[in-house]
Amino acid sequence: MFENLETYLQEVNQYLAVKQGGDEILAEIRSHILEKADRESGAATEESVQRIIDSYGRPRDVAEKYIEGSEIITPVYRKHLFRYTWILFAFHAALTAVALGFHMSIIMFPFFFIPRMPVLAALVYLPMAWLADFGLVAFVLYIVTQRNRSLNLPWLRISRVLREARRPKAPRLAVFVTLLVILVVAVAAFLRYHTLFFYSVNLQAPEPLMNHAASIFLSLMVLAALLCQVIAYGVRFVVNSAWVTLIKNALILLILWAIWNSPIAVRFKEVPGVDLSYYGGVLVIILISATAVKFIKDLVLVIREMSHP
Amino acid sequence: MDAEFGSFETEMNRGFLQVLALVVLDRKMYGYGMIKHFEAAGYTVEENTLYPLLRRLEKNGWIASEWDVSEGRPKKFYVITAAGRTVRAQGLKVWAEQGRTLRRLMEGDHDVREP
Repeated sequence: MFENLETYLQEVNQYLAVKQGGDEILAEIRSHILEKADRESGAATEESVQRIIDSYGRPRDVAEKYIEGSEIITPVYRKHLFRYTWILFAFHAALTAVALGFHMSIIMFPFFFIPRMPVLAALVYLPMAWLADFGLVAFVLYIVTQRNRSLNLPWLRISRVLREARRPKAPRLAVFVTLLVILVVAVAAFLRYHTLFFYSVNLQAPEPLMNHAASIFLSLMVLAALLCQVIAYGVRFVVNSAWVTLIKNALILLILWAIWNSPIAVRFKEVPGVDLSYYGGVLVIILISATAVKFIKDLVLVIREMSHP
Repeated sequence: MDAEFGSFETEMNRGFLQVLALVVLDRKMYGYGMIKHFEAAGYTVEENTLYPLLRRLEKNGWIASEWDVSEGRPKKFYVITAAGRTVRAQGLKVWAEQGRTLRRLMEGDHDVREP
């Protein structure tokens, strides 16, 4: 037994990712090297064996020739790997937003574990979530490659939608004016009645829908959201970029988050048979979800803008 | 340039070496013996190329193997199977046809129409 030969074979084995027959491959290489050393030098010695080893090739290269065509993930799935990762991450990010909004943990084993955390921690959590999603998708594609590499995986055709929506549509003056009028009317109403939420429409003595402090707070939040909408729409006449809608939707998400975490207790007017606080909560959840979806879409568009200016 | 040609040559040899192996394995041979046999015929093959190729041919069922431990050092012998003979016949036919096509093109004995 030659120590240099055994060391060499161990190194080959380190890279030799074959399901069966690894020992037989090594035995055959051992047999070949010893016979060649015997024939070319009269008898195998440490030196003659080393010469044959040197000419046989680097262990990594030797092993590579045995595993050609047995990729970890077949190259045709490369685009699927990134597409699926981004889709999974979109769900992950949306659920993270929900977890933040509701101050709760979300566990969907084995896909997601979103702990209860503050907003700043989420900024650290999300990049790690992307890596975890990438790993999960890679693992699934690895299994598919090993079991049935000819499987046609579905290709989710969001690219066409994104390509068409790459640049936001050109802003229209009529829409801008309408938004501006709504804002002006809302501001006027707030200045006069100190609320935007009415139970009755009697303009002489309108009845507020909730307690005074909550009414002022929520009205200011709605006005802030409207202002964001109007300013963003106006800016788009100058710079019609996904960045503008991304920032607008981020601000609106912050406003909705502030509404959900309102420091002021909201007491709705009691209406027989109708739980207004329940419907109010549902409305905020729907708005958060819809805005989060828009935000993620804007995020994808911005990444696209940056990669294909 | 040499490195590029080396890669090109490797690609060309890949199929050719499979046919060669199926041709010489009409009788039982082991790796080292095959290499020497090829060298005697003027064809050099790297050992770290031949053994993985033999493994692939065996996996496809075109050759069979057995270890001979009767001598001092164990050796793995290979021989062609019935399926291997069929593949060899098809491979030789393809190779001959490719040779004819190449000759026709090089000699200009072909019908070229401008698109």
